[in-house]
Amino acid sequence: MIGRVWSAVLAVCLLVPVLVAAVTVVPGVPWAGPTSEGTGPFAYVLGLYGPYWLRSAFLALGVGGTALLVGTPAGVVLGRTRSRVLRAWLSTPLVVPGIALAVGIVALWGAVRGLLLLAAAHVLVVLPLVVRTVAAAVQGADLDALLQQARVLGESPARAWWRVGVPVLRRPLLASLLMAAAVSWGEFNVTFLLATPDRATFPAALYLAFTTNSLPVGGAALVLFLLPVVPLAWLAQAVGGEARQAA
Amino acid sequence: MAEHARRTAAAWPAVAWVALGAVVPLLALAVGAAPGAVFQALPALGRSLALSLGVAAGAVLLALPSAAWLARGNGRWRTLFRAVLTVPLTFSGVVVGFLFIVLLGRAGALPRVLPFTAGWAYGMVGLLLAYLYFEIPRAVLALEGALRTVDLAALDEAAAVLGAGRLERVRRVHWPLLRPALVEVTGLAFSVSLGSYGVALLLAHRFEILPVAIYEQWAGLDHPEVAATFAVVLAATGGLANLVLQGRR
Amino acid sequence: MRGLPLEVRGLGVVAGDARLLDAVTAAAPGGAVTVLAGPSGAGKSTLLQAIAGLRPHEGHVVLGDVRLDGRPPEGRGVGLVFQHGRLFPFLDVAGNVAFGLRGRGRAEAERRLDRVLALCRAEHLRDRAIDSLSGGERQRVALARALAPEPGVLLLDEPWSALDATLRLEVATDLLRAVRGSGTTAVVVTHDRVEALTLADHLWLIDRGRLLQQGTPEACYRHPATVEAARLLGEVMAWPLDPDGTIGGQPVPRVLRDVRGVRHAVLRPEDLEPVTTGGFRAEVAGASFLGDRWRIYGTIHGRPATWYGEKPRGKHQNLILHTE
Repeated sequence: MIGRVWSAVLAVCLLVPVLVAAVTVVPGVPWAGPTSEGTGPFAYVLGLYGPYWLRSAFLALGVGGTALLVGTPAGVVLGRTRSRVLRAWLSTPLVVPGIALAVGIVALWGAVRGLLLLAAAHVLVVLPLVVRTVAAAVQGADLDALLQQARVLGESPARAWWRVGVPVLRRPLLASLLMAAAVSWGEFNVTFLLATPDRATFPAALYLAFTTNSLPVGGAALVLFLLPVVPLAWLAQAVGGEARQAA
Repeated sequence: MAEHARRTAAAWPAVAWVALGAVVPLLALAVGAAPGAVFQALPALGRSLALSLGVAAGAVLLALPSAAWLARGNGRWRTLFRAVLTVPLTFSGVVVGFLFIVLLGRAGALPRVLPFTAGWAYGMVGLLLAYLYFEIPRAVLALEGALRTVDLAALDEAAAVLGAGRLERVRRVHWPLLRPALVEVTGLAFSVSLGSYGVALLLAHRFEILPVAIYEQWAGLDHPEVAATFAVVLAATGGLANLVLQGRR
Repeated sequence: MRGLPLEVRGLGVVAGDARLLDAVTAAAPGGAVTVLAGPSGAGKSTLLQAIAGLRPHEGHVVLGDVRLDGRPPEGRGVGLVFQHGRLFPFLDVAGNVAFGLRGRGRAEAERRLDRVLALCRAEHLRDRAIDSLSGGERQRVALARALAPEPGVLLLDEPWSALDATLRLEVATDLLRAVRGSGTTAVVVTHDRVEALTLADHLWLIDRGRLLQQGTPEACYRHPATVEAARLLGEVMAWPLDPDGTIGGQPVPRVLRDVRGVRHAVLRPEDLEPVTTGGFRAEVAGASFLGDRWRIYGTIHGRPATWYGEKPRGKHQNLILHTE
């Protein structure tokens, strides 16, 4: 009983600030304050920060795909061997705070031009999540045992992977991809330090919008931020939940 | 041996990625660090630790009733609640900071109804509330996961049958069973808080935490080794906290 | 390919420093059910895995006159059924059973599918999802899947041990009926001695990685090769012999060595029969009522012994020893 009521209260407390802030885009809302930028807030945001939005979107997709490519084999190995050393090593980007990672990356790799460095940094941050999700799926489904069974039934190792491994991993991989894209989209801790004019993302632009522009513009930027990522996160949850149940 | 290498070969790209992106750079920073700067970092580190620990403990406490409810079953309402929680999960610190500026800034929404709350966003209260807002969704979902593996109801019943009263059951059954999960999630929340500075950038104008100090030093450009040292201190703290956690589990 | 005899020769498996299987040489008659019996950790599952090619091994595996060792698992024509079925969760029953039929034509595959489902009495499960099956149904589907490609030899690793005790016998009988109906040579692993005796046409007794004995259940039971082999199949009294090779001066008919080579007199409770006069004296320590008879505990010449009979009166009984 308490749990349900408490959760309802929490839900309200979490949603209200979002609505209050998002609604500042509507002209005439009392707490929005004056708009000093001339054109409507959305037009302003799209005009000034639109390229960042697109850049973040492409980045999210690229990062998601790359993280899957690099992280899935590692996740399979971790799921099969359950090596604590491997798990600890691959958790490093989760353990070390983002800004510390960024200082290190800039010190060593700062010469790399443009978005490539940013993408690589995002993949680094997202990698532990992909690896863990895949490892959990491999363990949960006892993939090794299923692959053995496929071999005995006449399939070569490669075909066994194709007929058994892929179907088993399909959902966890999709969930990982969505999660990775969502995390990359909103990533700030590492990005903020790495961002330069030629490699800035939308969250970095958000910082500018929130600190230098009027509230309605900030509200518009917020809405544009939420637009892709909320459906993405919901989808990731839904697929991930099913994957959890199927395993 | 060769068999072992073949089995783990597929993990090497990821291992190399982490090596080149995290381990080697941090080692390089540590090598170039200025020992004296470590002392410079301590005040900010202290503030970071206090804030992160307080927020982590508070978030877990506030998350517990909801997490317990979620862990008890499945269904429409719980799924809906989880969906609601997923939204703030995607926010970075800056977004949360902005939300609180709108809500509790000098000309914010809440002060229109409760005038005494004007400017709270920029004080300790606002900072704490904002960090809690940031942490609680994560804490609820992580705690739910951990609680689902604990069969509290069955053991509680067994203890009741053996004659233990409610208070005694909480002390002797609930607490020992829940403690590992609570510790783990608090640690997780602590880790996340330690590294998040978006909120602080926007709201904490008089309370400088270590990540912000790192940024200031780094943007300053005259003593890069100071920024490097601060970063190593922060990384070491995060690593140490994680080790302590693993040990306790 | 069916009904061919299976032979393993000098089969060995090493894992790190430990030798899991040591030069096992045994034969399974074609078309019959051979039970591989032994205590937990004896190496039974390892032996099956080696035959299937899932574990690197020394020695030879021969089916009929074809050498299987050196071939990968997919080339050995072996069927395998595990304890928990290991069914593919993303396919329904028909999809699972037909998994190994990929190479055949569509019509042929359909025919085989129907036939094997009928054999395993699983036709009604055809379109069901895997997670909707009961434990016994899962094992039937697992067996059908293994039989569908008509393997040369069928290996079953304790396929009913994860089920309820009440279900176990029913499922075991069901599965073995299907196995025998298919005429495939089968090797079944169990650690249960009653199953070993009742289900087997032929027995392989194994312990600590070594083959102790092979033969029919009756032969293995009545003429065990070693003390351990005797223990595997029934209750045993094993008494180290006196230095003169007797027990208390009396010669003993069945003398076996144990794993260290020490000679023992080996008796089973049913070898001892109480008589009114004659025989030798046993001291009675206690007795349990079993319904149709009593189980009596005591000592003979100072050595602990058990035998069956009527309720004992007094502290002594006379026993005679039945020999073969």
